[in-house]
Amino acid sequence: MEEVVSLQEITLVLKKRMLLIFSMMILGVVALAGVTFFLITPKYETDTQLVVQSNQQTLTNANLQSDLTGNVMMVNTYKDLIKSDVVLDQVSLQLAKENGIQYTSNELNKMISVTQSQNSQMFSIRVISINAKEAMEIANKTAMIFKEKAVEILKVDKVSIISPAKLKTTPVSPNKQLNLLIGAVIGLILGVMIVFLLEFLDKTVKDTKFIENELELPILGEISVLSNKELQSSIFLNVLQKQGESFEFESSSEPRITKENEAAEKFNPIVEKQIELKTEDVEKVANKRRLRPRL
Amino acid sequence: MSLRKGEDVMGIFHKGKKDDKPNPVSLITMFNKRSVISEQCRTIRSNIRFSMVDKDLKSLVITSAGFNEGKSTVANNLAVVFADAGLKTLLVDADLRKPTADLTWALSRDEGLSNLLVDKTSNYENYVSKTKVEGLFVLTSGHVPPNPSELLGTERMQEILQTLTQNFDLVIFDTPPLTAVTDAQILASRTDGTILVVRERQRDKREIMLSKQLLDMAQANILGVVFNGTKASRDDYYYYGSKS
Repeated sequence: MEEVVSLQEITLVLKKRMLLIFSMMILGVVALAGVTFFLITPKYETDTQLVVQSNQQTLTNANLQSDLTGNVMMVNTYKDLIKSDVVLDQVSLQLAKENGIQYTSNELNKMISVTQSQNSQMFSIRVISINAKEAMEIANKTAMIFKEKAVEILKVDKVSIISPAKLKTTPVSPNKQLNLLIGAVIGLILGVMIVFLLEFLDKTVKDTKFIENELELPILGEISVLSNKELQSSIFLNVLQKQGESFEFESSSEPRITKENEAAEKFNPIVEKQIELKTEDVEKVANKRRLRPRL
Repeated sequence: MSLRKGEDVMGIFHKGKKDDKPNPVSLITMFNKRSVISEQCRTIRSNIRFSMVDKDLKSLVITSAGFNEGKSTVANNLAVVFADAGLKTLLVDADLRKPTADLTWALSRDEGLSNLLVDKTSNYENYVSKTKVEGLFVLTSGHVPPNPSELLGTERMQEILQTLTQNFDLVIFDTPPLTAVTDAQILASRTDGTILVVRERQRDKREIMLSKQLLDMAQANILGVVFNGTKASRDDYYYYGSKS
């Protein structure tokens, strides 16, 4: 049973459930806002920039190009050195002793990253921590230890700390705006999915196609939904109540077949008293039944 | 001719409506002849006539798969438009379980179809009421009997049906839902035509299919379906109807 769903139908379905989709979006934003503001610990980042001057520069080949490339390549070596236990153990030790910050070299390894700008001899030690002050202290301590170790192990000329780490109190993560946007998008997707699921699970008769194609019955006609106003004004009891018995309704605008009128006249022993309800009676009936009209 | 016992098998498909109180239905075709819905009812009237060109249509059963699909509204308003067209029309409230015609037309329920069925000597003329619509007469349900299906299946019912069709141009029966009780099946098998009312997004497609099968089993002449409660195509009719 293949069902062809047109774009128009999809739009109609989505439009009808707009409120659901919209509330799912709001829910998504609220959920992600909750996570962002209450669950995720903000993280702070700071960095210190260094440059290393190598003494081997003069000894090597005079080719400037390869010389420069070599120096740039050397940054990878420094990077490894910074992240090695030789440096980090020392950092860990000194931090505990001097600053009272307890981190193992492993933990430090995760917090520290070394970045190098393209084709530059300069590089920076970047530290991310849940504490801005700690981040700064770790960065500066690492730079200092690296300075000592580099001279000692790699026999470089000089390590200069160009800019020491500063205290940066604005958290770098979480990104509030991005997270809220993600929340909205997730909510939207979820909402649309729910709408389609509901539509898929709804096996009621939705259109005349089913009647014509599967039920194979002709459609004699369609009747629209009555508006509430139309409904209330077309309930006989309501009209009677409002106007007593002398109500007038619109006369028929249709032509009559004449012989039928005669037939109606012939038919007289009809109990007409029943229609002549007194207004009180009508009210009584209406009150007793607590009128809730329907279509 | 009872294919199934008249017991309530509602539990299979629906969890029972909370609001079981009958309410009067809208007689929009009587009070607002220019409304969109009145226009739609007249279209249905024409289509019913076209679908019965070869045979005389004297009796009509209006039914549906379940509750709340708009059977009574369709039945009453069709009765009005048929009367408007000059046919001497009788609306019979054959829903002996949840009757509404007495409320709709502000009539007494004490005397009606069930009395006519039980009292074999009675004449239908004593129970039929004239309405404010010219040419339209109403026979209410009468007292709600304990055994509606049995009553409708009797020979007496056949007799009544014959007398009524002889004396009226068209007899329209408002009946209980098909999937709930067998009353509509019984009537459908004995009348000239049956109309199935289907409300948009109300019933499971299975139930509508089942309803058709039930009518087929009763060898009913299904004229077609009135699709009720549509929202989308309403604007199309404004060209002819008036926005009210």
